[in-house]
Amino acid sequence: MDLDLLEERYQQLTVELHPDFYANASKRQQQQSELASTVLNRAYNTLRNPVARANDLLPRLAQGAALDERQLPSGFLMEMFGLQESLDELLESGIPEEIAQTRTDLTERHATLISGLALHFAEAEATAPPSTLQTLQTDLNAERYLHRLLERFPV
Amino acid sequence: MERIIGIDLGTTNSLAATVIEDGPEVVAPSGENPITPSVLTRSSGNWIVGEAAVAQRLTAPEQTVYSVKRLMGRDVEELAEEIKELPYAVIPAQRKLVKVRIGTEEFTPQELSAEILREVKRRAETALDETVSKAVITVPAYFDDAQRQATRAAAKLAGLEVVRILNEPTAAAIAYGLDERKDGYVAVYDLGGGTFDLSLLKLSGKLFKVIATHGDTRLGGDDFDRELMTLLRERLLAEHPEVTFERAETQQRLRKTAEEIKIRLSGSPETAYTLELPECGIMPQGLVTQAEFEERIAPLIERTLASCRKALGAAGLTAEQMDEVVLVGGSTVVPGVRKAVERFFGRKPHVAIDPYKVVAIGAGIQGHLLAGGRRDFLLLDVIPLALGIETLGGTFSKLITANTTIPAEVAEMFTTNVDNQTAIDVNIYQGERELVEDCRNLGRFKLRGIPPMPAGLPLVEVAFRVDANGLLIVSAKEQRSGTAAEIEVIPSHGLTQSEIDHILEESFDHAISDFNARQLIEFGQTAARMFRGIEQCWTVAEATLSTEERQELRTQMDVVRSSMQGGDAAALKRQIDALGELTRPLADTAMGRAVLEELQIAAG
Amino acid sequence: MAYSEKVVDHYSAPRNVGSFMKNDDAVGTGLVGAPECGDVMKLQIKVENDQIVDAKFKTFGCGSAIASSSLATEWVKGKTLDEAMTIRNTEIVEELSLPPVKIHCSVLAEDAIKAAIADYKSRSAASAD
Repeated sequence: MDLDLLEERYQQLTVELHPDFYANASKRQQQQSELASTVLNRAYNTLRNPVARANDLLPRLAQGAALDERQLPSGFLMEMFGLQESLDELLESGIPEEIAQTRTDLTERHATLISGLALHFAEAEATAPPSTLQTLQTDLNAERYLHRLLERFPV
Repeated sequence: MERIIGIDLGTTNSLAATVIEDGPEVVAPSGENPITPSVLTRSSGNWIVGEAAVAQRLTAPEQTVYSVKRLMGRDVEELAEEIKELPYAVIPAQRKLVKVRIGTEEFTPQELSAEILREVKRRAETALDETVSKAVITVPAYFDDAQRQATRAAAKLAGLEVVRILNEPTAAAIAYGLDERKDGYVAVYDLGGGTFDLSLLKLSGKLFKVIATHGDTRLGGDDFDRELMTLLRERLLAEHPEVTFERAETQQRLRKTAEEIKIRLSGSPETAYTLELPECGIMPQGLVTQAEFEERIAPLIERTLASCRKALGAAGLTAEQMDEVVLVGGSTVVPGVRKAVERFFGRKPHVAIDPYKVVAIGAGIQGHLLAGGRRDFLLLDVIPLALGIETLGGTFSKLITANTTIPAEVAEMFTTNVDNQTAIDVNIYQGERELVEDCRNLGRFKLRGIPPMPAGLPLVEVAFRVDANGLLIVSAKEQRSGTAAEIEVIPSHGLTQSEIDHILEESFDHAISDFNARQLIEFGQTAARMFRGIEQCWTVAEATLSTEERQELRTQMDVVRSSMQGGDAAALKRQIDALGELTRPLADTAMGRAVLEELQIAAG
Repeated sequence: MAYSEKVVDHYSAPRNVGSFMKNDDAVGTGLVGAPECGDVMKLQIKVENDQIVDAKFKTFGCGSAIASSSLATEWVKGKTLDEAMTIRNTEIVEELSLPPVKIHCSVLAEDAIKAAIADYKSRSAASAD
């Protein structure tokens, strides 16, 4: 995904569609501009966010092929439950250094998973072997559990 | 091309700007101060707004309303602190709304803001010599939906169509961006009389994109005044423990002195003051240094910096990455604020644009763009606070997150809990906290007209849309039957459409009587001036007019006098015109001419 | 939104929160997750003569997930394993009046019951060997 190109295209389109340039147009045109801008913004936000983009793209790539939407790496669920439980204690103990360290570790793991998505996608787009698609689906399934863990840290 | 003016409706001051041939300008009748203080006073059933009302804060504190913006879209519980400090009466109204009571009359904050807007509109119309009916009105970026809706209602009551509600820091960024035309990251630090906003923008070419915004709608220069008032009160009590501050007059004198100290400390390291308290029979004097002032306001400034950190965090940027920091709002002239901002961002802030005018100017430019006057820039703004609904156990389920570019839309499915249920209630909230009790309840919507079906079967798709004004629009459709479910949003803090209509109707009735009353006063003054002129040149009249003519003149003067006692302005004007006719022969004499010129001027 | 009193009750005062010893032969443990949202749920049953005598759970998730698992533990207690196998998520949805966006929480609870029973059965089969 070329983020610079996305930005450039977004800019071009938003300048064409934005309601600010239709304030004097007919009610119908105003509504259309508002609607088109809304859709454009949603598309832009989806494409810009690697996880949202992957979730949106995968079903298209799979073209109806059944992917196991519950599959997780082996032992993953157990590990997540363990992490959740220890996070309970950690957040209660309130040792800032330990909390920060755990957070850094999890953030890194999350980031590694996300950068892995891009690689698998490149592969999947070229050849689309079902195994790669399932790997992507599994990673995306796992991502939500990690995301959920990260959400628990105070801002 | 119909003009769309920009209006900065501030806590302390309001002003209008528009684009004229030479570019964007603040508009005010020539020779007058472009700033209209956001103060209004009630005097024998009429409103006096602006400069003339400011003095009344001391002499008629209970009839003089200021800082109305703090009341907009808020309820009694939220305003408990503010209400204690305000000299005018703020009372609870239906749906936890507040009203201001003056004598036997009660006014919503929307109506009071409308009076300020009406005055700003009137002054702009005088200056431009044309009718103004459309406006871009600015609000703090961190205003929630209820506060934005309240602002829009105020404009409507003032006879203005709001083409766009624009965020204040964003308006400032437009003015700055078009001035500088430099790409990069810009932080706009906007500290006004009652609100604080920090907006981060990315300027690239013609696109001005807000990336993140954070703020505090209850933090501003008013709070600096309050700190100084506390200082003065402490000092005063140390010397005169007998002084109480119960009287509104005493409070207002304290406030006025505090304001003056604050203003003078912007230009010098220390200032002397005299607190005149004739009602207490004392006149204490003292000295306040900039250092003392800064120590008092340090926690407030720290709160603004906490907002800066949050906005930067949300944008994933650091203070060092900012290419420019723009200061906006009257309170940024306080040296302590400037120093703190400079320290935080590690660079000297940009102050080339007048911090008092920049918001109105930006709004004026945006109005020009919306009117079709230019297409060379586009502003993309964000929703400041997440929007969502209440879910299980009072938790807040976010549907649209903060800092999402607007317009934005999210759809959510709802269904029924019991068989043949035809309506669903949903509570809408806005905020950044986990529990709904910590967020603002924007209102409740009722989905009606769901076809009777077994529980759980109907699928009602509810679309939550935030338009380019940052306002929420909710619509719904039942998917199975295809019927559009009716939706009725009951605002928690705002006025309903029918309430707005009712006030408008009333104000139209009032407008006619108000107009008549004002004309009666004006014509009465004209007549009085004519009488003086006639008396002054009576010797001329004796020499030039016949006895009958003189008698006729006297009779007409009596007719005018009795017409002045009546209530019909138009009738009075006719009698004055008739009197003017009768004085015309006096002009034939050289001696009479000078006097008559005055008479004619007096008669307009 | 108008949630039923039951759901709020199960959310604010969840029943049977906790754990049994995992390697107790009388205990079956079900650990399930909802990939829709990343919720994880552990549900345990204690079995005597094919009858569930006690149940405990621990859920990291939203209020609906907590309420669903709390209700599930209440329901399985006193039931035989076969009876417990017949509990359907739709019954949980109905009892708690869950909104459509939260139906997967009830699925999670049903899955957890089944997983716990399966775990118990495989253990008792193993210990019988």
